[in-house]
Amino acid sequence: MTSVSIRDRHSVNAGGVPLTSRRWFRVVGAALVPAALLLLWQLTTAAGVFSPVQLPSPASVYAAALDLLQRGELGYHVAISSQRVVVGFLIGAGLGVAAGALVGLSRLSEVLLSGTVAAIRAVPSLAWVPLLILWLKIGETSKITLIAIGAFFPVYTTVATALRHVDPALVEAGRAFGLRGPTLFATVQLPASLPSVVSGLRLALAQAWLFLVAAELIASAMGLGFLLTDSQNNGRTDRLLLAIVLLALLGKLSDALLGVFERWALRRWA
Amino acid sequence: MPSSATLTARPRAVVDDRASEVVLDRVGRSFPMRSGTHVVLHDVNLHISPGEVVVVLGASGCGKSTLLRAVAGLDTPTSGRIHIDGEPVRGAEPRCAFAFQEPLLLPWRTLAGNVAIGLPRGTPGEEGRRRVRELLGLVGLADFAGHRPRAVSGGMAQRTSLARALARNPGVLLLDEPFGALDALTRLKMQDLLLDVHAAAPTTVLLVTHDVDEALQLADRVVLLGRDAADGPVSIKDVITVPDDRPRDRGSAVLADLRAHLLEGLGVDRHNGARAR
Ligand SMILES: Nc1ncnc2c1ncn2[C@@H]1O[C@H](COP(=O)(O)OP(=O)(O)OP(=O)(O)O)[C@@H](O)[C@H]1O
Ligand SMILES: [Mg+2]
Repeated sequence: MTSVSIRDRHSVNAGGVPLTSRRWFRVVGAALVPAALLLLWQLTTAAGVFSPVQLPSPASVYAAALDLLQRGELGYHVAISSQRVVVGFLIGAGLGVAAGALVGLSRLSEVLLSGTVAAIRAVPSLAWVPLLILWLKIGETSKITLIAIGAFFPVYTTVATALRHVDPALVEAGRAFGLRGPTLFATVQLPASLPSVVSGLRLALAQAWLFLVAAELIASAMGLGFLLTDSQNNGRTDRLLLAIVLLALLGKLSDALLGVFERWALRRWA
Repeated sequence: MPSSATLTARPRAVVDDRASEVVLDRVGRSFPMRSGTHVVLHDVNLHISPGEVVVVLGASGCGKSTLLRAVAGLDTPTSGRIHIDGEPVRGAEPRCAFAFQEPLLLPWRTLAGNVAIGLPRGTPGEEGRRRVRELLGLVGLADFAGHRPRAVSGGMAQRTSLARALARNPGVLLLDEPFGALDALTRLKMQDLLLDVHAAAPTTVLLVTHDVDEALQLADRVVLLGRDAADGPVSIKDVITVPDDRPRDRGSAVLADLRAHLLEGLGVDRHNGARAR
């Protein structure tokens, strides 16, 4: 099963595995660009190209991180933001799967619902903020609702589309062998659409982080989005950069977790 | 109609009560098209006795698959009625098992997992696994039970699809060109397998093929579908009762006559512009 494409044949070594598939090479390769960026950052700040307010050095960002960590604020901001993302993502994705399944499986609900949902989807995310604050006040509920809205649509769309494109002949074969309703769904339709559903979940997670920052930027007293606005107002560019780096790390980490799930799902179902 | 002589001459007086009777009564099917209605089947009448092997022969596109899908309840005729054991077919029919023209296996399941789909609902786990192993062995795929469909050839997938249909222990076995993707030798082996399975548990078989020789080897009766006019609807043009017990001598004079007759029947279509294959 270790066939090698012509493209990769040059980089094949004795073990028969292309270099680009080797674990150590992938880890080191992926770290190269961030390391180069960090180096560039360090060099430009050391050379004094920008003022510390414009671009503080990596060391001072690190110091800001330690400072916030010791005061217990860093863990607090990260925890509250992560919690909002996870809760909002789970609610939005869950509703997205349900609505997507409804519209993807039933022609009637497609006729009744798909137009309306598409219209709601067309509303830019930030347009919801004033309304949510008016209805749900500046509390957790309004933020989580906004994040759930963000996570809902990618899942809804991918689930509905994937279910609608399951090979009808395969579904008919299932029916011919006595599968119906939920069993048909579990045996044929769900597995057939699972790979695209999982990539929809990854999109939704990215959306959830996006909407988190939108929610926290506008009205919040804690979380990474709050850290961003607060630092901006106090001229603490080091903290601002710290918040951005943390968002990058958290986004990448949560995406990697879903990636592990996706690989499992693809191995199992595709 | 089969002559009573051929029926009583068969050593399958002990017809399993699983075998079903199939009656098609003036079955028609047309499809609405932008250019008007496209009549595919018209006035198809057929009475298939329990345990009988009926082979449907006809040119490509004449409606053979459409006919089988109607019997399986996967498609509803626009006119006429289909009864299985006296009960009308309504929706996917549990007494039928279908081996489709395409294998239509679930790509994420192993061959064994796919055959298991065919098992009747409520088969106990151990017995089910045993039966799946047995069937995969019968179609010569014992060593491939754990393979995914993508990792086997088209012919192997088709044999898996046959095993899945056999797993059902059906009253009516519907086979749509089940040996189409097989090489000549495997094809003969699978024909023998079908006859063995049928001899052991004589279920009703409705099989579609393009191959006149295959029809003459397998069938109690051959049903020839065709058109009267060049672009007219398809109906049953001829029904031929094939004499002699199976296995049959491929060189026999009687079969040669029938072959010529059937080829002529298919060839008439050719003169009228339809393709015979
Ligand atoms: N869903 C459909 N909509 C419109 N026309 C259809 C539909 N299904 C089948 N037909 C038409 O019915 C006719 C018969 O199709 P069918 O698949 O039954 O042919 P067939 O005899 O099985 O051919 P082959 O030997 O090539 O498999 C064709 O002309 C086809 O265009
Ligand atoms: Mg066909």
